[in-house]
Amino acid sequence: MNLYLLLAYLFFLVGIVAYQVSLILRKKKSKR
Amino acid sequence: MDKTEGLNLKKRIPPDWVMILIGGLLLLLSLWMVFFYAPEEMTMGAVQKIFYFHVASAWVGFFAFFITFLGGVLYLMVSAEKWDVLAKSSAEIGFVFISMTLVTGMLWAKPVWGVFWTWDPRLTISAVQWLLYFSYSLLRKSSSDRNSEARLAAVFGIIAFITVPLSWFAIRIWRTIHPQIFSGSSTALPHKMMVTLIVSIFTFTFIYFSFLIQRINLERKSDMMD
Repeated sequence: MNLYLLLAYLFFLVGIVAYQVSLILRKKKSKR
Repeated sequence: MDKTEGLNLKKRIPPDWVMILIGGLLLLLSLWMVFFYAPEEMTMGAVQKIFYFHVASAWVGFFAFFITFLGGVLYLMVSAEKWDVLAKSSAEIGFVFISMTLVTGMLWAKPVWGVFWTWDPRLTISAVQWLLYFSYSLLRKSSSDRNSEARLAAVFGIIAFITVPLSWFAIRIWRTIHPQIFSGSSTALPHKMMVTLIVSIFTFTFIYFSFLIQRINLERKSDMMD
């Protein structure tokens, strides 16, 4: 497996998941 | 008063977790297609597969900035806060996607061009675009007066949007090393690659709308607390 390819897709996944988690956390914070 | 009135999407669409679940499943399907369905390109080899999510992410970034542009125009026309919320939410999401496009573009450039970055017209415009929307996000946090912040951000969002058509046409007008996938008449992509690209674009667009709905609802909640 190409290292750059792996890094790129890892970055996509981390980016999408991190933003989703930030939305969930902000939602929880606003409920408190 | 609910400043997102009229954008209250909660009554019309499924709950957040359903959207997140569908988005996750679509993402898994796209990943499977990228790695196991799409054929390997002959010249660049496996690294060319970065292309599918890179293009999908750029498309979502451009689309998100268009929504910010539209929200800005509507806010200046009718001064309804819901349009400001729409513009603000979309710009934040667009910035996330355009950042991913930039970083993964660099990871694609290194093995193909030999460098992570070069001051090519398309890349230069992308760098300027990233800086502009980064400034936009700072602007949204800086002002204390809500109305003047919204007006200023609307104008900023409208002006910054010029980078989207500029970026699109950069590879068509100037001499550039950035590949051009969509030319006016036809696309040079084989069928399986095209299907994978379309599924990736659809997935990213779905995720954008899922993020947008959650982001707008977040703004509504914070407003109710004020």
